[in-house]
Amino acid sequence: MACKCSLPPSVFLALDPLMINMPSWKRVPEESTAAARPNHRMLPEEQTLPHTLAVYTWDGDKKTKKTHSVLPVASFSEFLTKHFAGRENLRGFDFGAA
Amino acid sequence: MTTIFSGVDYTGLERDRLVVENAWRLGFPVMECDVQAVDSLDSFRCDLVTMFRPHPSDVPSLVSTAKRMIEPHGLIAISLKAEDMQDLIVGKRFLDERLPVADFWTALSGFSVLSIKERCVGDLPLFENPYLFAYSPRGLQGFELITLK
Repeated sequence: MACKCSLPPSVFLALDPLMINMPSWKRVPEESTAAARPNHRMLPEEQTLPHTLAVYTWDGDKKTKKTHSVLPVASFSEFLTKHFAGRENLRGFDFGAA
Repeated sequence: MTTIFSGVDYTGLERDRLVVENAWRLGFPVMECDVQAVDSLDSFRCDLVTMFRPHPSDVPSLVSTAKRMIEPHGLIAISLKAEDMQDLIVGKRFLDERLPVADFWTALSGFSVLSIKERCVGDLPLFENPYLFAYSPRGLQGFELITLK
């Protein structure tokens, strides 16, 4: 399906309004994870975010572990402010996924 | 009006017509478009492209399009759904039942990984998980990061 609208010349906001009521992530009950998935690791809480992220990937049938460095930031706004420091009239685009 | 970042004029895109209609009723300028058919955006240039809770199988094509849209100093930011991030950490072979994990990491080559302590932006709980994938053609400014390979 092709895009049905042309880009408006000036817009001010585009956040999925459904996000406002987006449910927060719910933990899988502990008893259903450990036995079912021996390698299961819960997403960390904000207070204990590690500075590395260990993930697994696949090369054919071979499962390998990769560790990525992670930079902790306080907030998304702080991150954007630092990255775009001093810049004005920025244009943003959000790819929603309803 | 709540904004994700007060310095950015934002445009949105959704594939679901009902979401688009609801958005316009609420005053949000969101366009209806199949995210797999976004070549028409190639002439659109912007500073910030965000993807919150994308379908994993859409990510490779969206990243490809976003990299064509983004200004050299711009930024692409991706936050996955909690269960998709969980699948990455656990090491499932496929995301979204269609996308091999290896293809996901290939699509995100050059991205950096950040962790966001505050998951809300204003009153909006935008982040379902603490991790954010970010990319800028000229590198992230204000940070020294190791990029994904």
